[in-house]
Amino acid sequence: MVFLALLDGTVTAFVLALIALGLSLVFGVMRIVNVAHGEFFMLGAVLSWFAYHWTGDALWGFILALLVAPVIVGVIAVLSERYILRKVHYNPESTIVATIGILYVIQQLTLMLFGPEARPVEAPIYFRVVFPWFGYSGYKLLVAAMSGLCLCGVWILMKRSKLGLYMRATQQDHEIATTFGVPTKKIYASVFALGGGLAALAGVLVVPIRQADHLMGLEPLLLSFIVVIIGGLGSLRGTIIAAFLIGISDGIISVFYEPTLAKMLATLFVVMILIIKPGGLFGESPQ
Amino acid sequence: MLTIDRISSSYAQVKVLSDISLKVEEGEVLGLLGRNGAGKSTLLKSIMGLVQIDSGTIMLDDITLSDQHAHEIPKCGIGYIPQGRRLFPELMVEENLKMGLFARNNSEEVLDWALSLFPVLKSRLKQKSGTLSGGEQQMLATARALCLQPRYILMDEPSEGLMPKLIETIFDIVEKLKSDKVGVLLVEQKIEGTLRISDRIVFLENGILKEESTPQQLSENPEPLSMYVGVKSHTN
Repeated sequence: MVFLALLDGTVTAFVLALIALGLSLVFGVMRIVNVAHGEFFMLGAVLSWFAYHWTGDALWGFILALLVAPVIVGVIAVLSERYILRKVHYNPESTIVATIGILYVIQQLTLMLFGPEARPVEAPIYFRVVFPWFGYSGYKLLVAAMSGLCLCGVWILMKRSKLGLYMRATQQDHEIATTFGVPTKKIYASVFALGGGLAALAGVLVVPIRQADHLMGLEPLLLSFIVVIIGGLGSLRGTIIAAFLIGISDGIISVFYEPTLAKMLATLFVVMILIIKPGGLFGESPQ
Repeated sequence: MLTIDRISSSYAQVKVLSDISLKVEEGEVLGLLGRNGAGKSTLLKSIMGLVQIDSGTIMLDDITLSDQHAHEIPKCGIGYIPQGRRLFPELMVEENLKMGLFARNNSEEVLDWALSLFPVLKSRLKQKSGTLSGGEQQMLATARALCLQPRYILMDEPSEGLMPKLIETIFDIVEKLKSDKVGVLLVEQKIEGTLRISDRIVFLENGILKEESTPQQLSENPEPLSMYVGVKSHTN
């Protein structure tokens, strides 16, 4: 039973890390709290449903959604950055209000086009991994593996590429980054697109495990905020560690007690972190 | 030639620079002196496009820098060493230097050349720049700007907080740049050193360019130094 809880928690942790990483990147580089982040996740799931129905095949629909959904959501993110966030000069307070607006627009448009029902998407592959005491969904393990690969990809992008170097430089001092030829507005657009794309990818991966609906962005948004606050705003390492902390504890508490209790404890943990270490476990303490 | 023609700029409603005009030739060191708040750093930031100018033009040969986006200006060959170094503290020394290289797509040979000027940085390449000593940070800020292979370099108080030996190293680098035909616009508080390495000196007061002189003229008549910088003689 403990092993099953640990497995479930690990899968949750990988997906959560993928979603929260986007939120953390956006906050770290742009200093923006993106309240619409959960809607990018929801869009990924809904687009996956459309791909599944358009192709009529679970595997091809999944592959199509994996390729197309992050791009479409990335484009929506770029347009939001270009025509909304840039217009309010990335002002922290204004962008919170603006992203709440983006949240409602995306949510209501999805409701109009997709409808209010929760819709299932068939898993692209089905197999069970048999352990001595129980069998476990092979697709869930695949989700964890693919999320892990994406996390490694983002890590390599950030640490080994010129774009990643520019993103980290912009995060630390955007004015001086400009004096070294960094087009900071394009960097902001790239970061917002990357964050949205990662959330959409998580949505595509998760939708065969749970159903797609227009309100499904709220819970991952809340959990991502918890993860990002615990890990330290803007800290990628902290975000991933906190995602595993929250994901695995959520898995264990949900199996032995109630999922609601897991969320309550996570929220309580955030309050404690904010009191003891306001900058989060790996973030800078506010001055 | 770097030509600043009648530029004015302001923060909010407060005018910080009024009608400033000056020229820096290739291989010339122009010292910019004035009291705190005179507008020296703002002038450098205006050239880099970090402060919006209200009027006037900034030209590099026939390129109008004041029409360019701020991130295009370094690509034209203008390097900037800001006051207080402003390194990227969480980036490694090597990554800070690469920021300079990437700005103009320069090769690793330029990096080797910059490191040859500051050999101590060679052993620190994998270290986070925020963990360097003050002197090493200034060397890195200078090397980072040199990695652009700039045609003109704007230096904002490069000797601030450094020990005398290191100040000499920085001034030696300025002289080397001068011999390599790089134009230097130098804002400094160390008057003696500035007079030694500069070809011309301009004085700024309350955002207005008050006087232009040469080190020779100032050694004969140091009055502008006491008037605009507050020193009795040109020894620091």
